[in-house]
Order: sequence, then C-alpha cells, then structure tokens
Amino acid sequence: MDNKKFELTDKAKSVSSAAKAVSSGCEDATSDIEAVSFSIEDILPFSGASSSGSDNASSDIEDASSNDDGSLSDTVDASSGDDNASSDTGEASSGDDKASSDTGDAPSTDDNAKSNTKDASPKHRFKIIDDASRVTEKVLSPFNKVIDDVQRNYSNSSRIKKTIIAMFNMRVWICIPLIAIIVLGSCYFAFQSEKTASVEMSLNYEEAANGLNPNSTRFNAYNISSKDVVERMLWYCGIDPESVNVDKICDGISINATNHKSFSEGEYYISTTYKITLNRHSSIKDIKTEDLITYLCKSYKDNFYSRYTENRSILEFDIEVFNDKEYLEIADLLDIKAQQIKKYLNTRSKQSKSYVEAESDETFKSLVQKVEDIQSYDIAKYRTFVTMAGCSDDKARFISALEYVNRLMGISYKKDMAGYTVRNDGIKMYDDDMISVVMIPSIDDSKNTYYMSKTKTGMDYIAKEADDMLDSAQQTSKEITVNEDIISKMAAGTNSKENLDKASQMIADIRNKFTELSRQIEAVDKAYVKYRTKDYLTFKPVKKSLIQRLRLVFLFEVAAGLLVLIFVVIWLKFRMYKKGGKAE
Amino acid sequence: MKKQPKQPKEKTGKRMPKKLKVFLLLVLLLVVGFITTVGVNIYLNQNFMVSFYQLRCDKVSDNIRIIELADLHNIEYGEGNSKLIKQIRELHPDLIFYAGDMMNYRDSDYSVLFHLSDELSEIAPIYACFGNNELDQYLFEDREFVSKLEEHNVELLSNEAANVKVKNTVIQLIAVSEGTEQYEVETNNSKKFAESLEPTSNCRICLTHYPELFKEKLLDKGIDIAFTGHAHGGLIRLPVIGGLFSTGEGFLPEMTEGVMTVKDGTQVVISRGLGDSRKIPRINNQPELVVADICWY
Repeated sequence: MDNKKFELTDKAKSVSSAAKAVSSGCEDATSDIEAVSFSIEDILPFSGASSSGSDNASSDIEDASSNDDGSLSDTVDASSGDDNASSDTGEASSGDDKASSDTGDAPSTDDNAKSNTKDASPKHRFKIIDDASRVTEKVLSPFNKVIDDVQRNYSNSSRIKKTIIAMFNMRVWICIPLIAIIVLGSCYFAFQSEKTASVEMSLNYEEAANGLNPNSTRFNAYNISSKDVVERMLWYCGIDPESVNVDKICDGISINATNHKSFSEGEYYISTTYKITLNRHSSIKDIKTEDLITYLCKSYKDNFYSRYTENRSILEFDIEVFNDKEYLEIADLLDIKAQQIKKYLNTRSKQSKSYVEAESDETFKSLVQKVEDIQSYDIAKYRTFVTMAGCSDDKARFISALEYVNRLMGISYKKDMAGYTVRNDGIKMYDDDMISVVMIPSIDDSKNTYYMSKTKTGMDYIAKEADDMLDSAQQTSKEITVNEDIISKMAAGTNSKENLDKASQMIADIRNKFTELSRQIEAVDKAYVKYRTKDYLTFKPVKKSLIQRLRLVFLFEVAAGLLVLIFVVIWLKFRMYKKGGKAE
Repeated sequence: MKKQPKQPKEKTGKRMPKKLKVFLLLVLLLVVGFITTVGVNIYLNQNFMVSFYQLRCDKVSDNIRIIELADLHNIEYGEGNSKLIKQIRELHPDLIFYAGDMMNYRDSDYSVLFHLSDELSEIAPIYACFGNNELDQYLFEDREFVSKLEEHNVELLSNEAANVKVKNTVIQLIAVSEGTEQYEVETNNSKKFAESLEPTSNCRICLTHYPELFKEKLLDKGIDIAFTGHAHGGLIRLPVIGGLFSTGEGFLPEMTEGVMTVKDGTQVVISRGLGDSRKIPRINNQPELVVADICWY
C-alpha cells in the first residue's frame, strides 16, 4: 500500500515538474504536456484511493499553477494537466474518514488498472482516454480558467463572493444558454397557445338565474360541447365531419362556471357566466383556433335560438298554403293567421306593456291594433265580396260541398238538441229535494279556517251537460244559417272573371299587408329581445397577454432555477479550494 | 486581499476585428432574414387563406352566408382553380359575389373567369360588379363582355339594384360601378343611381370594387353591408401600421382589409383579393377568400 502511495506522489510530482518545464518556456513543451496528460490519466484510476498521499501531489500542482503566470495556466489547461490534478485533489479531499475505506478498495482498482495496462493494446486505450479528456477539457476549460483566476485573485474572499464574481466573469456563457432557453421556450409556448382559444359566455335573460332557458326548460351549459353543435361548427368551417373525429373534438371543449361564490350546504348558486376553452384537435388544419371557437359559439347560438327561445315562424307568410283553396276558405285561413299573430303579440305585450321601439315608435299594443284592422276590415271585406260575387273555382262543387256540410251539421244539431231534451227531462223526473244544494264543511289550508263548501251533485253535472248541448246546437244552427246564406248568394252570384281577378287582387293586398306587418313585428321583436335580454347570450373572447401566451413567468422561473444551480455548482467548486489559494 | 492585476492577453495570431465580426454577423442575419421572408412569402402567395367575418343585420331573418371573391386577376389556384372551387363548395355559401377585377386589364382571355363561373354557379347564385379592369374592357374593348358573363351564369349589376331572396329573407343588392374619381362625372351613372336609392325595410347590400367610396360618397345611402376589394391589402403589410399602398388611397391607406364600420354604420367588408396584376409582390399579405355570415343575432 505504501509503495503505491509513493508511486502516486512520484507521478504527481512528474506532473508539476512538467508544468514547470512548460512555464520555463521549454521548446519541447508539447511533448511534456502529452507526458503530463499521460501521467494524469495513469493516476485517474487511483485518485479515490490516493487520500493522504495525493495531498502532497495536489498541493504541489496547486503551487505550480498559483505561482505561475496566466500564460502558464492557459497552457496547462489546454494540456489537461491542471484540471485533472485539481479534480483529483477534490476527490482526495472528500475526507480522511472515507480515505481509509477508499484506501482499502485501492488494491483491486489498482489491479484492474494494471491488468488493463497489460492488455494487448495499451497505446490504443491511452489514445481514446486522451482524446475524450481533451474534448472534455476543451468544453470545460474556459470555466475552470475563470474559476481558477477568481480563486487566485480573490483567495481571501468568502466563497459566496467568489462565486458571484466567477458568475459575473462567466456572464456571457451563462446568459446565452439562459436566453436561448427563454427564446426557444417562448417559441414552443407561442406555438402551443395557437392551438387553444377561450371565450366567456354570459347568459343575459331573467330565467338564467334559475338555471332555465328563456322558454323555461332546463339550461345545460354542456350543450355547447354536444355533437350537434360541434358538427354545425365544422359545417360552418367547411370541414367534413366524417374526415375528423367529432368525439375527440367534443372532448377538447371545456366549460367552467366563472362566477364562483362560496356557498354552504343548503345554499346553492347558479352561475350565469361560463368560460369555454377549445383545444384544437390535430385533425383540424388550415383554420385558426379563434375562428373555430367563434363558429362554435355561433353554432351554439343557432341551436339556442331555434330550441330555447320564442318561435317566430308564426310571422312568416307562406303564400303557397293558399294554393288549391277556395276563395272562402282563403278568408278563413287569413283569419286564422291574424288570430295567431295577435296571440303572439299579446304574449309579448304581457311581458312588457310599456316597451316602445325607438325607431318606429311602435308598441306591441299598437301592432295588435294593426292586425285587428286587417282582420275586421280587409279580411271581412274580402269575405263579403267573394260571398256576394259567388267567387269560386268550381261553383257547383263548392255549393254541393257546403250543402253536404250543412246536412252533417243538421244531424249534429238534432243530436245536440236530443241530448239536451233527454237531460232536461231527466232532471225534471227527480225530486226537488234531491237536487238541492249540499253544503260540506271544509278547511281553508291557507287561512287554516273552516268554511262550508257548496258541492256539486250528480244533477249539477247533468244540468251542465244539457246547457253545453244547447249551446252547441245553437252554434251549429247559426253556422247552418250562414252556410245557407252563402249557398243562396253563391248560386245567385255571377262568378265572373273580373270578380275572380278582383278577389285574387284582394288576397294579394291582404298578403302584402300581412308581409309588411310581419316585418314591422319582427323588427320590433328583435329590438325588444336586444333591449330586454341583450341577445340572450353574449360571447366575449378571453385574450391572453403576451406574457401569458409565451408563459414567460414560467420560463423565467426555470432560468432562475438554472442560475441557482450554476451558483451551487460554482460554489461547490470553490469549496474544493483551500483558503489562500490551496486546494483541500 | 490584494487583487492581482490582470495580465494582458497575448495575441496568438491575426484575429478578425470585433467590429468586422459584428458587421458580418448582421449581414448574415439580414441575408438569412431576407431569404426566409422571400421564401415564406412566395409560399403564402401561392396559396389563399379563408377569412371569416360575422356581420349583424337586424333586417335578415336567417343565417346568410356570402362568399366574396375579389381581384382574382386571372390567377389560378390548382388546375382550373380546383383548390378554390373545392374550398368554396365546402363552405356552403348562399350567394357568391365577384367584387371586381376578376380578370386583367385589356385581356380578352376570359377562360379562367368563365370556367370558374361555370363551376361556382352550380354551388350558389353569382352576382358581380365592375372592377376597373372589367369596366375598361367593357367600355373600350368588348361591349359583349356583360352578356358573355351572363351566359356563364353571372349576373353583373352596374349602377342598378336587384331584389334577391335568400331563404326567407329578401336582400336588396345594389352595385356601384365607378370609383371616387369617376363617381361624380355626369355621364356616369354612379352618383345618380346612389342618390335615387329610396329607404327600404330589406337588408341593403352594396357590391362595389372601391372601398374608399365609403369614406364620403356612399355615406347615408341606407346601405347595411358593403363588399369591396381593390386595395390588395395595401400590397406590403407592416406590423402595427398595416397596408403600405393602395391605388385608391395612396400611401398608408386606411381601408385595406377586414371589416370597417364607417360613420353611418355601414359595415364595409374589404377583401385583400386573391391575385395581383402589379409587379410589386405581396409581402406579409396572403391572398384571401372572404366568407361573411350575416345574421340578426
């Protein structure tokens, strides 16, 4: 063991002598340097075991390097002698306690080294190690030089100060990779952020606070990621749904309530704003994520308006329904249309009696009045005209049809009257006491009081049925009379071409009036929807700042972490040196 | 602690001066940047992009999709404009508009335009207005141009209006033929036509080649939406600044792309166009196909 220690010391000494030889300006410096590197590589396998013996060697080397000028250290660095020497010393300084155990292991390592040296190609082995060592040295040499310089120049300063100075001296080599990391990271995150877009959806109608749609059905925000909506989005964007995986695209849509509120058990809070995020699936190409999410919102809006808001189709006027209809039947259809529009307007009027459309000064009431004007004047006038003029495409068939209807209604009339008579007779057959009022004690739950309730008996129901049948019979009788009047007038009417043309013109006029009125109603209605609900839904794009898009905070955190790591590594490096420029 | 003075570095050989190094680096960067820009722009200019716009108009009852093609200048995307036709077919338009300059100045070869029109007319009705190239061709070269276009199912409107029914909505489509310089010339009809327009409850859409008309001339004419082209996106688009030059507005033009809402509330869609007739190349200004969705909500 002792022999080996001496051997090491000798080799270390040969290193220092070689370094000195270089510093003295020997002409064959290169060969000496090679000799140094050879010697160091020879030492390397035993470095862990060198413990006390290597102290001397390394101190010699340290002395050599510290006493020499800059040019010397440059040359030594290039030849890999100094670095290896110092790293050897570093390992050697790992502690005396460890040294003993290391020393114990040394023989086997030594044996291996020796056996390797005895291999058939020792020159080849040394060449590989030599080359690897040179490459490593080249990479690390600038930093070791800086650290050595700092250690030399600020040998009495604290390690932290030396580390900071070393880092400052290496600022270019530290900053360039860190900037590169930040720049490349920013590019990556910028690319990633192109695949994601978000919007904030707000529900602006009254029923939303109760979790309902405008038509009082249950609201479900997750409809936005439904297959129907996504397929419509793809249709808008010109993408064939069969060419992409619709389910995957649906999965890429996330919906989160945004107005969070703390609530306890028993309390609940219904959100009316949601953040919708779309992660563009890789199968969708050639379209911006912003465009995709815009059309996702539009598709959802289409879906929402068609399913959950008022149906405005009643305002549309389709002239084709009048085809193949008799002139009098058209009058009936026009009447029905007027009734439907009035019903729609009355519903709106109940919602907001005071609403006045700014542009036209119309209210829902004034529009109802316009519909009534058409109904009571234009349609009535038309009805009278076609009846008086006997307008019909096929007069005989029409009269025959009316007569048939009258016959059926005559039967219905007789049936109603018979039912009325039977029930009346039945009531008369009962004793008066049987059909008197029966009072039953009852409880009013709301006031928690007793009261006497008047209860219907069987006779009450029979009497009501009799009344209904009489009403029906009277109504049927009235219609029969009207029809008879029409039949007589139609029969007397000329049904001339002029009259038919005039009737057609009257239909066209009424249709135009309805069309114009429908347009006015639609305009007022749209303005009302806009005023009352701000279009039910609004979508606001969530725009990320540049810092958020490039995730600069994260990247700077990474850079700071690396900076700390570099600091620690350099600090540890300084820890290997002894105070006053000598290695431990 | 004594700080040892720094040793001067020995010069081992002839080294390049630092200033020269920086200069060469800058030159290298510029060359690389230039080559990249040219390469990217050549690629972009050979392909068109689709720009989607959503427009609101209370006068329509349905979703109406209009595709606008402008400034094609006989350019073809794929053989027989197959790429363009395929893209338009996939976008399911209700109407197709040609906003002028679909062909080149005094060029009697209409084959590109006619073939495109034949294909597109199978997808949706086509309406067109005069661009400066077509108007010149029509006035000085070929008086049959309009009728030839009609044979290929394109309805060209020139200072006139037409009611077009799309789904349940009636649109009043108007077309203005002259640009700002010719607009007020008495022998031309643009001004007379624009002033004769009466208020309508239908959605009024204007088709004209010249966006700059909406700075002054076509204001307060009850136009809800307008489709225009002509500006070619300002040819060279600079970040923040936008387009650099357009024929109608000169340097640093305002109306070069996108949707602008002008003083009277008209929404003006300005296409960057699909092609080019000038020698100046488009830079950072990819040709575009405009898709506008009009809806009341």
